[in-house]
Amino acid sequence: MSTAVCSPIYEIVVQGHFGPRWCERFAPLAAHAVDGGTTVLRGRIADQAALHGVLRNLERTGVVLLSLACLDEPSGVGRARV
Amino acid sequence: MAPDDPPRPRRLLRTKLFVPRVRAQCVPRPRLHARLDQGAATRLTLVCAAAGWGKTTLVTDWLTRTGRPAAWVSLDEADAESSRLLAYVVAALRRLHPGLVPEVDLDALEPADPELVITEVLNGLAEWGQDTTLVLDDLHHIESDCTHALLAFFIDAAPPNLHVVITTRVDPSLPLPRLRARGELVEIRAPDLRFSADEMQAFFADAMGLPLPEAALRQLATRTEGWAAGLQMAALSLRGRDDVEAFIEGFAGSHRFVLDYLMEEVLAKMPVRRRQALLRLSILRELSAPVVDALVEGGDGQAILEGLEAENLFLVALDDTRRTYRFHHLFGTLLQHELAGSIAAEELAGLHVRAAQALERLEAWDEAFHHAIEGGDFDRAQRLLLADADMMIIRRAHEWISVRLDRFGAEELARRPALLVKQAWVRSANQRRQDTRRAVAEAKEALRRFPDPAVSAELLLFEAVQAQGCDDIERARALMDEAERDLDPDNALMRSVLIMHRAFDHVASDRFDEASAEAATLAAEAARVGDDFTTMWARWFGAQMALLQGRPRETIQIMESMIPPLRARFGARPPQSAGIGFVTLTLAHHARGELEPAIEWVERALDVMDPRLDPGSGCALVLAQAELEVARDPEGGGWKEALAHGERLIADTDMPGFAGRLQVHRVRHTLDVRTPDDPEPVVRRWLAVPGILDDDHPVHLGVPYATSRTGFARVVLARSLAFVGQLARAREIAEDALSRAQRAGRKLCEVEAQMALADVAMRSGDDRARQIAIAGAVEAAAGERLVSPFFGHADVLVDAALAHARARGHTSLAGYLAGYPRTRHEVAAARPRGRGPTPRAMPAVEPLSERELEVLALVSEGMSNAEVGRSLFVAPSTVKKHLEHVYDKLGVRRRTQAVARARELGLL
Repeated sequence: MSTAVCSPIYEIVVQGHFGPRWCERFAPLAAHAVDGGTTVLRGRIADQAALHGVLRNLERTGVVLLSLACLDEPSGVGRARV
Repeated sequence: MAPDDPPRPRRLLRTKLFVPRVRAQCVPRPRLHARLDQGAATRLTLVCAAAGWGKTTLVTDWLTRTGRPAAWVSLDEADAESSRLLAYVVAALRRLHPGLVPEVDLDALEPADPELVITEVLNGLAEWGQDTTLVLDDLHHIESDCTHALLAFFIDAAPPNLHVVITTRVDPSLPLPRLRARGELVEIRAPDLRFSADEMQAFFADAMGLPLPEAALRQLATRTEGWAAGLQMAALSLRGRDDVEAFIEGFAGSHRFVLDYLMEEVLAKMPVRRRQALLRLSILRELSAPVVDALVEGGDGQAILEGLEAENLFLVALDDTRRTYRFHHLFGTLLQHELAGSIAAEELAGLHVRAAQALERLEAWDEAFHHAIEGGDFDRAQRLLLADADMMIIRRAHEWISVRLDRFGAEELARRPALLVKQAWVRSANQRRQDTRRAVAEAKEALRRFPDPAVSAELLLFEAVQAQGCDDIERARALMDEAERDLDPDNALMRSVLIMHRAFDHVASDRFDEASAEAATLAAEAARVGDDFTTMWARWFGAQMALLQGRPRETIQIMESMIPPLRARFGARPPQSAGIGFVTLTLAHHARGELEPAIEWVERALDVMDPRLDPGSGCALVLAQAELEVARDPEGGGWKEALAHGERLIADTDMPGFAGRLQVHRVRHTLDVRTPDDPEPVVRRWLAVPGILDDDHPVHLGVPYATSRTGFARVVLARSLAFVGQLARAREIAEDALSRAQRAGRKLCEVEAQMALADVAMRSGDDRARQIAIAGAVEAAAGERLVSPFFGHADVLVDAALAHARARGHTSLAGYLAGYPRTRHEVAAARPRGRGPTPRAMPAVEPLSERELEVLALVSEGMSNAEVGRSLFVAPSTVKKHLEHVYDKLGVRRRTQAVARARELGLL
């Protein structure tokens, strides 16, 4: 649990909206559809290896990647949850 | 499979060499075909775009329509091993032209040198001269830097008639900017692959039989952005629909991800059983009827496959007979998603296990292993891995094992001692004690928790081998005894390892009869199971023992009889381990005073060996090289370079015995009257080494040379003591070495020891003792004409030996003693080159190119071709070619002569 708290929060924006089954596949990231046809995937990602794993997963399914941002410093203390 | 079954051959999947079959309804794309034609006139075509952009389809369709013959390789994750990738490339090219290049034998005694293979391929292609297209499909599966570096080398060095086409989802790490700048690269990327309005119209109307109104087409174009996967899926969703326009309207108005939206549609209108079958089959990387039968109850596998193909449901045929298929990668992934979401995790694991069972029955070991891992059936995966692991260890195919071990994951591995022992073998390959210790500790910890006597025995054997390598002979012996008790009697390969090291141990302790008996047992067993590596090892071992016992003729005879089978099996590409046989031949000829053939063989060893891959054998090579350098050009210092190279080789390994051996040889060569160096400082430094006078000072056993504590090293010690005037101690040690050598029948060492005694007697002015020692040396040497022990001794001793040999009618020995150059001046005079005028006055030679000088400089440091190649990032055969030019220009025939000549000319 402590690693999860310490790991940074990432926000990945992809093109398109997704049905519930797809959203399950994005776990541990939570998917929020945004007006205008994009989806924001957001959540804590343990480390760089896990991040690359997430990106590869997107790549394999042909999902178009629009942006990627790290919202958090790794320590993450005191920051409100977004 | 029982452990003593013969080892299974590693097969290439022929399906990976077929150009995937293009579906009939493919849209012609002349603008892209023109680009590919353009690419076929240059070095590299890169078709690079994300999943589903129709890369593979484009290339296969282009090949079909142009009728262009191509070598095709479909890559997947399993091809990360560079040797495997190369084997496929070679096999694919051989389908075009079988005579192009010899097959890469994945079952070879050890992995082929990839750079060497590449060079052969490229030379073969250049010679053949035909325009050749090589397609590497799905290169993104290859992530190993090493493989990418090889590929870059391959493309860079390709002859103009080779055109490489790469399809990939990610830009490969190749020198693309350079290729672009040189106009040697044609790129086709996502914007190019996007379907144009005309292509879309043709796709729906002609290919899918779904003519659509222009407005609908426009909507689809906007929605899918011309993405092939989206269009394909749209066509599937539209098939059999009455409400085409309404459907497109709905689709166009949705923000849902194209494939998410459409896949749901396609699956929803499918009959339940068919949908279920499709989803289940998506776990397979390759589909064939028997595996389909195992996953889909109550169906006819072949009929299911043909049905899916006919309905265009994402299958790609991998052969002409409709036996093997794979899913289109992107759709396969989507179906797997769908499957994982629709059934429980246990059910999914169960499917993988069923697939593993079926594939194991089909003897598709690699695929069975993959599904066993995916299904969490780790016992099955372990069994599948262990069936081949020992043979892979013996062949030094370490990558093969570690890739598979990694798939178990750390946690699972920690509970599997049998696998951890294999990991220890793999980790010890680099001879670094730290890695080995950690691996042993991990295996021991696992064994504590999960006891297994047979595995414990194997671990003991492993530790014994390590101990022997570090010259801890007593410990090694104790460990072997302990290991033998519990070692699985059916485990033929581990038993071979045990017997090999027992044999070394016997040799180290002068028990030659026992050593021969072990080797004979081993040879018989190896012949029974058809293990040709061990068979050859046993013969080499016999040759090596003959040399040790002073029968070099027998050594030469045995080794020469191994050359034709070696050539038959490997052609011009003998394995690394053959190099050590060439070293043995070098030493045998040297022992008989036959310097020319000795030099030939050491040159051949330098051609095939890469000492860095195996520092132990590398040291044996540099020792032989130093020996010959002293005989050939004692002033050139080549012998010192060779020994220094040996020291660099073992610098970061854990082989104290080898360091000791190198030191012994350095001392012996400085004491040699032919070398110009002052022995005083070298000898004094050596004698100051703590414990050097003890007779259990460590010496290396790994390769059984006569340098054991009872042998050669003691003789050198006696000569060193004599040199510094400690004559009594010197005589004592030499006499001890002599009696041990006589008792054991080590003739070479006997002659060496007699000559050391003669040396001591000479220095103490004892003519009678000198005469006795000389007589003893000559009598021991005469039968087999052991000439080398006389090399490097003072003139007066060699003259005495010569006189005695003549008096006793040992004409052959006398002839060689009279004929070999005894001093450096005689050596210089005997050399065909380098005689007479000073370097300045020599005729000018054709200047060496910068590259040739670079190669020569590295060669002068004692590097083999393979090592030079590694340093300069070229193939060993390229190095050889450079060297041949150097030889021509310098008017010499060999590397040693070239270095000497270059030094004379002031080029180095």
